[in-house]
Amino acid sequence: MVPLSPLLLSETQAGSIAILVHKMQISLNQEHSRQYQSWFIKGIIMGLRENLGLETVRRLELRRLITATPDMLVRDAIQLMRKHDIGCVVVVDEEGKPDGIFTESLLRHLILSGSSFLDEPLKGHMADRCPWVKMTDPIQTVLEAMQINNIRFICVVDEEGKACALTGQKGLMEYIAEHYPRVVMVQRITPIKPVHKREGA
Amino acid sequence: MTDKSTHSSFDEYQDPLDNYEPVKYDDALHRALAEEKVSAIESQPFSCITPETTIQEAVEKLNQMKKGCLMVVRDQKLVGVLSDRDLLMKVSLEFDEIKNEPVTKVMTDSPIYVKIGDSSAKALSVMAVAGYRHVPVVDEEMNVCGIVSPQRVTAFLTEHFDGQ
Repeated sequence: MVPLSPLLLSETQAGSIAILVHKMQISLNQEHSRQYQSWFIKGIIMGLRENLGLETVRRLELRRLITATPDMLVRDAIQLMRKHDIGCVVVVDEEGKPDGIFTESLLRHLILSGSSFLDEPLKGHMADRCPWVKMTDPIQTVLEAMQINNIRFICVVDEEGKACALTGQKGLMEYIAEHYPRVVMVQRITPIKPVHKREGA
Repeated sequence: MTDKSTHSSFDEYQDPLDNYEPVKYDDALHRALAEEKVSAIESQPFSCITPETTIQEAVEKLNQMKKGCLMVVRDQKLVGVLSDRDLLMKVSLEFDEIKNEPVTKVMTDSPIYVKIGDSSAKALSVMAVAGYRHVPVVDEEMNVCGIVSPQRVTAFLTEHFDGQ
């Protein structure tokens, strides 16, 4: 990998492109490099759409991952989620690889079934398929996964496939907002309250 | 003399719009965020309950509608929202004891909302900065007229990417 000057992206080497974006070196595989090579040559990069394909999941504001074992009681998992104010726990196997996920939307369905589920293990109530992306995948993958699967949380795994972080809708929104600071970040969040008393004299 | 001064000021007149430069946008999404209103993202129809609804009825409705959030409304005015996060934090372990209580006991009161005339960027800002997933939309009289959901935002983004 050859370090390049910031924002000067035109180097191709051994089927991969090395770029420096926001002081981060990102290595793209050959498939992606072909797709974006023409953009580099034309010099039309750094828009959101291009960055979604170029920048990796590592660039997102990742959240701390809360993990559980399949034998953990649902009650304990809820306590964990409450403690960390997070909407899911990722269930991992002995090797730390994602094995399932338990989310607050699954919990919503359980609530009406009576309180007995609270003292049952997670493995009977979790979603068996935990959506995940690699740390080196393009951010576009997260957007597509959220849209296709209609999900909120995506587990991030390292090179060995071990669960290491969490991302999802909030991380993606923050990333997109960063690209349009003048239209998004300056927006007043709280509504303007009417003035009840006359100001001044 | 009078005529001369009139002519002079007329000659010096400059149309203020001569210097107007239209806003330049980086891409279609940038334009959409700045120019399209919240109404382009909001979900219709939306689900509401009254403050007198019991917690059990509210959870049943959430499950029936397959929604992650209900708006609590009195006389069409927004008084709160009940979301999956409220159920996790305040209901899940205590359901048997509180299921017949009114939903106002566990809802989020004073929720952050956007007005129907706000730009779509504002809804995104509430999600990105404040971290809310569902953002109620109200009109000028504060009547509830929709909700911005995460699914609709994702669809809005990809729609404008595809439009490029």
